[in-house]
Amino acid sequence: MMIPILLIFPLLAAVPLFTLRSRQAERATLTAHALLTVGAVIYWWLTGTDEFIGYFRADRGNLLFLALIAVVYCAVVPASYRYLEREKVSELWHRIYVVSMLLFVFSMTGAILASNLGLFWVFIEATTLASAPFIYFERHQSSLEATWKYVFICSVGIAIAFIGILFLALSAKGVCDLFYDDLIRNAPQLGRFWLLFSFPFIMVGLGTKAGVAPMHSWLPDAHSEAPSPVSAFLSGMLLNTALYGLYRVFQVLDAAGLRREAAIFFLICGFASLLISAVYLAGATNFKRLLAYSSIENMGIIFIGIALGGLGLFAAFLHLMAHSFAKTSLFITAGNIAHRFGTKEIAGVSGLREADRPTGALWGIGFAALAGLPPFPIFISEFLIAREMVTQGRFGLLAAFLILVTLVLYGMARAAFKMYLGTAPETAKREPPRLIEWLPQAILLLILCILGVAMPDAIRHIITAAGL
Amino acid sequence: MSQFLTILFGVGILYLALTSRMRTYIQVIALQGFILFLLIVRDFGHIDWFTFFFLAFETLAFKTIIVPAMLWRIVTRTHVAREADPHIPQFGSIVIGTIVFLSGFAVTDWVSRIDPSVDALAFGIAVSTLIISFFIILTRKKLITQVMGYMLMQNAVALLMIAMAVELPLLVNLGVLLDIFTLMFLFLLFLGKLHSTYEETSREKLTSLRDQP
Repeated sequence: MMIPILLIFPLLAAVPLFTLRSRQAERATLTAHALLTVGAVIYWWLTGTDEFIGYFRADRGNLLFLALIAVVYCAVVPASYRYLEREKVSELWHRIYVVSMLLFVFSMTGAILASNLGLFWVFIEATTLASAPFIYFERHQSSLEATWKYVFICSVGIAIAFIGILFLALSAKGVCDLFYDDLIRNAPQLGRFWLLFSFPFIMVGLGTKAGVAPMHSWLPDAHSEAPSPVSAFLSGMLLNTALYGLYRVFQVLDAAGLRREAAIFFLICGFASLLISAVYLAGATNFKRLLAYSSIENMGIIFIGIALGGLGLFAAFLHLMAHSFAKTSLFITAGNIAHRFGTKEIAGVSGLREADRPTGALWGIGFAALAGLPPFPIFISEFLIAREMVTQGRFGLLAAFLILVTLVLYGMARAAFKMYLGTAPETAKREPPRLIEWLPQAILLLILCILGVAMPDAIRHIITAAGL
Repeated sequence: MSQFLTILFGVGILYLALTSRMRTYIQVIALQGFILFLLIVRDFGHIDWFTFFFLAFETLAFKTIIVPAMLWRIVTRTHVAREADPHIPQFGSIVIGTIVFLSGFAVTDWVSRIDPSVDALAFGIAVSTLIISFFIILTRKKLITQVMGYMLMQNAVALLMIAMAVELPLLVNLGVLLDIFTLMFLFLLFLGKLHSTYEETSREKLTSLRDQP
């Protein structure tokens, strides 16, 4: 019974908020929703039961994604409270923020829980609509530009994905509906031509939403202009949500014996993402855009892992989890840095370690986690991907992978060290940070560190099951 | 009769390659919506009653009346009467539009050989409409024209569904309609904001967030 509760609660809770007009009620609702999401995930995890209601399903296959929504949500909610307090937003915009957050999480949860590809599409489009007010939230000229690009590019992309879904439906005509399980079970009976024909459309459409190159152009703008807690959600979860649907279609092609063809598209997008991020990270001047390009890079690595298969598949989902944790932590920390220094420009930030020790430490450790330094799990996932390339004898790919990852690391390190070291400018705010400003990120990084050193079997099983 | 309607649907989009007037864009979008409605009516008896009622409502009320009305509202609010200076000159658009439209008939021939269950003519026209709508999105500078291109794309997708006789569950159809309606509302809202911020709602104004490698 958790699925209906999880889906209905945010919709029902959003309505009275417009009449109550109370910030306390709004915050209480958001907290309750986050706790409910965590509760649902713990329930599914501990009981190990599959829940299947109509068009929705919670099982081992989507538990990792649901768990990530819950964890990221729990970190984003306190960060949002601090952001709203700091920015002194009006009552109306406070309400818009909370209601948009409820609807945004609802749409992501719906997309992950949907067991039908058509319904998945509806929820993915809804994520764009629900998150648009966030990107416009600071109401600058640049946020307006970013919002327009985000809404328009993603909507065109999602429309292309819909065309692909229609072709997929044509391939399944007379065989089955668009339920993932049915499609995978009946994959050998699907029309091969239309199935293969559908994939480039779905790849381009959902790839746009997943932020992989060359369809990534909306991502740096949207991630840099949104409030930092929202950027954390966009990067830490929204990209994964789009990837989830794409991976389910990939599984259908795999079951139909078209794995090699689908993997080519994944490899092209994966390496294009690495290349684009390596090029643009080297010249990045804004640290939120830097993190956004890093998201493109990490999605690229995940795509490469999926394309390789074997051990690469486990590595891809491990990477996905680790990236969500690290990027959520870094984006929230980036918001604190922007507040303290009054700028998002890398040139305007220096001496983080002396201006704000906890934030400086989080920035440094977060960077280490994202860069794939031991003992963090990204080190393991990148190592496993490289090992799988060696096992498959794809040394050309391995060389390209290592060179591009190193270039990305250089671009990231250059900015991270510049911000961490040196002397803080006089204009930087010197007040000590509050506990709420650093505790959620510290917990995320601590979890990552523990997972990198000794991953419990239960977590390993969840990650493995995501690829099944 | 349905072949005539399908060709008329395609001629509408071809006509858009020749024109730059916003009023004409909206008229073509409304005409295509009405043609889709007639094609749905043609299928009465072949699809279940609920789905028929829903699709008839969607094509007649939403695609023929509500969407064109919302587009007209945007046009009047932003005071854009025509696409004055596209990236590709008018003559080039005409040539490309005609080539794409004629290629649609080649697609028709190809599909009829690959899958006889598909309405090949409607499929070919839908594909050429999709390509021309992409062409409009990519080559027009005014943001409102790009929105028109998006709505033409949605009409092409609807024709594609009819051509392939693919039925989606009612829940999915309802969700799609709700999403597109909300999206139109967002377009209306943000184009209004862009107009009041930049005065001219052109893609060329949206350049403040570019990165240098």
